Amino acid sequence: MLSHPSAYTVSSITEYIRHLFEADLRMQDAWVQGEISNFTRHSSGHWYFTLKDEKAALRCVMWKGKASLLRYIPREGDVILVHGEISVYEVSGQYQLYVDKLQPAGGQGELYVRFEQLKAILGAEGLFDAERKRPLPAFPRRIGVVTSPTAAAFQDVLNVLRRRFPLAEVILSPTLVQGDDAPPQIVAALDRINAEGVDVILLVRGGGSIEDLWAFNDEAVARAVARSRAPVVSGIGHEVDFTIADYVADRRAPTPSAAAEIATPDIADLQAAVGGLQERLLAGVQEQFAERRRQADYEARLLRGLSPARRLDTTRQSLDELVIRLDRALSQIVDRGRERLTAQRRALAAADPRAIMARGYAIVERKADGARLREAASAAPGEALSVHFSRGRLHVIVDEIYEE
Amino acid sequence: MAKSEGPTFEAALSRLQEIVNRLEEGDLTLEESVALFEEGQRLADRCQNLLDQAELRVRQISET
Repeated sequence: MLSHPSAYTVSSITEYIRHLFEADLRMQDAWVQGEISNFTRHSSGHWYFTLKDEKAALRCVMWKGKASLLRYIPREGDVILVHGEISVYEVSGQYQLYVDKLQPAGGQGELYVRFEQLKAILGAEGLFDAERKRPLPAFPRRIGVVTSPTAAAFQDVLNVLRRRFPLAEVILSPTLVQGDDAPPQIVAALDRINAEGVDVILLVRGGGSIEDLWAFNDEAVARAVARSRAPVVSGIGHEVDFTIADYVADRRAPTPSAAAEIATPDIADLQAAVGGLQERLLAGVQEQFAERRRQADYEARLLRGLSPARRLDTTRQSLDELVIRLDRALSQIVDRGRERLTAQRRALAAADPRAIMARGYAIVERKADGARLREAASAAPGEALSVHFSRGRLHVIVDEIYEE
Repeated sequence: MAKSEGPTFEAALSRLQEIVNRLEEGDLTLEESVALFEEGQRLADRCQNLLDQAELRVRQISET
């Protein structure tokens, strides 16, 4: 199979075309107006349709996530205004608009433009800035509610407050909440409740169409919210509805009931908190006593250690030890002396002449002078001698002398 | 919140928290801790009473 060396694959050229669209910022932030046709709401939740005018057609897709938020569902032939980004669906090689905003052109389209313009102006003035948002009081004693007294929204708010935070006082500043007369009334109601002095203001209205909620997109209302002395919690329409008042408010709640919840602590939490504090209070004071007891025990031990009695005891003990050591030394000395004495005695006994004489020897002395004779020549014939035995003695006269 | 003698719920709760913190820090004489404990008990009772007896009051200011 032959192929041109620089030929693209279909995938790569299509991907390249897609990049061309996605690199163009105007294609990525496009408002398009046209008549809707071939409108299909797929079972997946995605919307598919074609926008057309006299000369051209543009395929559009709106994913489920965006489409499901829309209250307005267009019909075939409606002229609509959409916003989104243009890209290529590569599988079929078709470019199409991926829609994220959709609304009817004409009357409501104009409302939308007015909304965006006012939002831009107030935003530029800094009315929506996060730094302007005031914290809500933890315990609002006086809660101002600006709404219609006959509206279900007011009853919803009261129900939530009764359940959550019945310690509060609710002050209703009544006003119309829809129609041409509503904006100036809402402004007056906001100013009056501020003059009354409250801790927080709930600006609420139940759900309705875009036109029903329009009073909350009024510039004077927005400015009254902005100048409110008490922080304002807005709860207007349903989750999906955003009004200018919501942007200016210190907190935006999705519904009136949610506004009441955001503005108040839950009594169940408070009861639990008080209970917890009570337990810690008791534990705290018990710990104080326990700590003191430990301290006292410790000091008492220290004191016993330092007392004179204890010192005397110590001295006595070392004295006792000295005496014991002295005794031991003494008896050692005595024992050693005794042993030496015994040895001496034995030596002495061995040297005793009587012991020798007992074995048959005798000592000879000259009777005249008592001199001990060691040889026969020391005696003279006829001389008187004493012969000492171990037992007894003899007196003898020398008869004959034999010298060796 | 019934208008009665004594601190508001918020004031009572805040003082109660302060007392508990002081007790937990220690460094008190026994007399002080007993006095704080008694004050804390009174405040806790006050808070519970306020919560138990609370009944939402609603009034409307006039339109002009």
